[in-house]
Amino acid sequence: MRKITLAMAAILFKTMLLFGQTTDQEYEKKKLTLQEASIVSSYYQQDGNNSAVTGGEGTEELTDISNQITIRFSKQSETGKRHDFTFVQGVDFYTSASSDNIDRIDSSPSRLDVRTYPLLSWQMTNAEETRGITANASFSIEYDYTSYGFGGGWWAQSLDKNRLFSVEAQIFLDTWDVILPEELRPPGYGSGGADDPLPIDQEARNSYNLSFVYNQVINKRMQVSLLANPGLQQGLLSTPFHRVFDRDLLVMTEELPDERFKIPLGINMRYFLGKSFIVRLHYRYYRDTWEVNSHTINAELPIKINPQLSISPFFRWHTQSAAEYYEPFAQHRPAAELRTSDIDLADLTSTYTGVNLRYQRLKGFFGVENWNMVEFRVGIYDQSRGLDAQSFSISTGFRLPE
Amino acid sequence: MLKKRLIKLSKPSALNRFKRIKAFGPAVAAVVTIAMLSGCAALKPEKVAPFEKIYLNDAEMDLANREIEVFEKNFLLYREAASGANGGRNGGGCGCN
Repeated sequence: MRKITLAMAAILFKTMLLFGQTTDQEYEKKKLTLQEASIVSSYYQQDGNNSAVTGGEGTEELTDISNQITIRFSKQSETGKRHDFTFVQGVDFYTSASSDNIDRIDSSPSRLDVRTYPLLSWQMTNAEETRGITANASFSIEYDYTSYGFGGGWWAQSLDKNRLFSVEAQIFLDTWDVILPEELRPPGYGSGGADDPLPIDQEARNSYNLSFVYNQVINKRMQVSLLANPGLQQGLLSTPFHRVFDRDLLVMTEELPDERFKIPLGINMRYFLGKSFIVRLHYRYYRDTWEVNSHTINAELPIKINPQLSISPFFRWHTQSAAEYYEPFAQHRPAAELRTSDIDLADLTSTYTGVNLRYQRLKGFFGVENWNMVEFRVGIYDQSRGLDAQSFSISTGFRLPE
Repeated sequence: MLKKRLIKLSKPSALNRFKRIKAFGPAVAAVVTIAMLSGCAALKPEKVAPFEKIYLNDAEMDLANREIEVFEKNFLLYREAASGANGGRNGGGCGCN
């Protein structure tokens, strides 16, 4: 009798424990908190002699100081779903010598300009971190161009996180202020300057982009990524203030088709070589309906001096064929309906060479515990059409403990 | 007496140098691409457990671009006809490509 009583008590006790245990499906609800922040600044300068504003010949001198701050907040629901909110604010200050030639006077409205562009994005990730959805909205404004952008996506990855597939759609609904070269404005047409009361036209340019990405872990030291990024642009695709000269030196505006379909395909590869070397490779093939074909190769070799410090020399090589409608300065047929002398659409080859230095410190810098990363990047750009450029960027990151 | 005329070769201009690079460029691109794709195709993906990802989880192994490259991607988009498939924009959002 005593043995039966003890057995029944043991069964009852275990049953109570079973119902008293919490399941693996319960998650701690977390309030919206700041997770990380980063600041990136860049100084860029270029010079050349193929400005499209003056028909394919003329100074391309330009200086750009760009800045971007990124802040990410995160919260978690009782079901374990994580919501990430990212806010990005960018502002560029640029001066362009060629823009000064739109009016051929020193005080053109676009001689010095500012572009500001905020972006807000949201991502929801399930508790197992195997599925997620994203959405974003953006805005950009500069003196002659306004853009409204929005997009969304979906991604999924395997439980072991060795495979990931994502698809994203992005739409930009943009508006050009049609600023024409001074000598080509009809009577009563304005310059686009802030103090000019005469009206100017506005035209739409819309862009529809899809992004497909597939990431695959190959082994303990290698992973690859396949990318496809088809895009369609419609509307005013030429730049209103670009000049084109025909063989008789008659000046005209740039005219390009009102539609352009692009299909870039890319592959990334990362390989950890030995104890201290990493190989970062990227190849892109690009083709569009304007007859531009291009190949681009990026190679970077990070060298880990220690777990915190890495130095990465890099080299980029790019080659492209000319767009169907491109001719150099004063080479267009007089009756050419579609025409451009924009050197960006010419056949060219370029190289971009430089070095990246990254320093991470878990304990922070100068006593600031959350200041975890500083990065410097400098590069020299050289183009076969005579454009030379230099770029210097600095980035710093702050991460708060979760 | 025949006069020998010395033909002085001029120093290759930057344009000529790039023309030579361009001539080899497609071949180099094809070799690199085939090597990468062949290397990947020859390697059957392995199942790698989370605790075995010490190399894969290194910050330099990230498949995405570094954040510091954002403005670099912009100026390359402005100065060349090609765009996309590199983590950057593919068109729209600015008065550029």
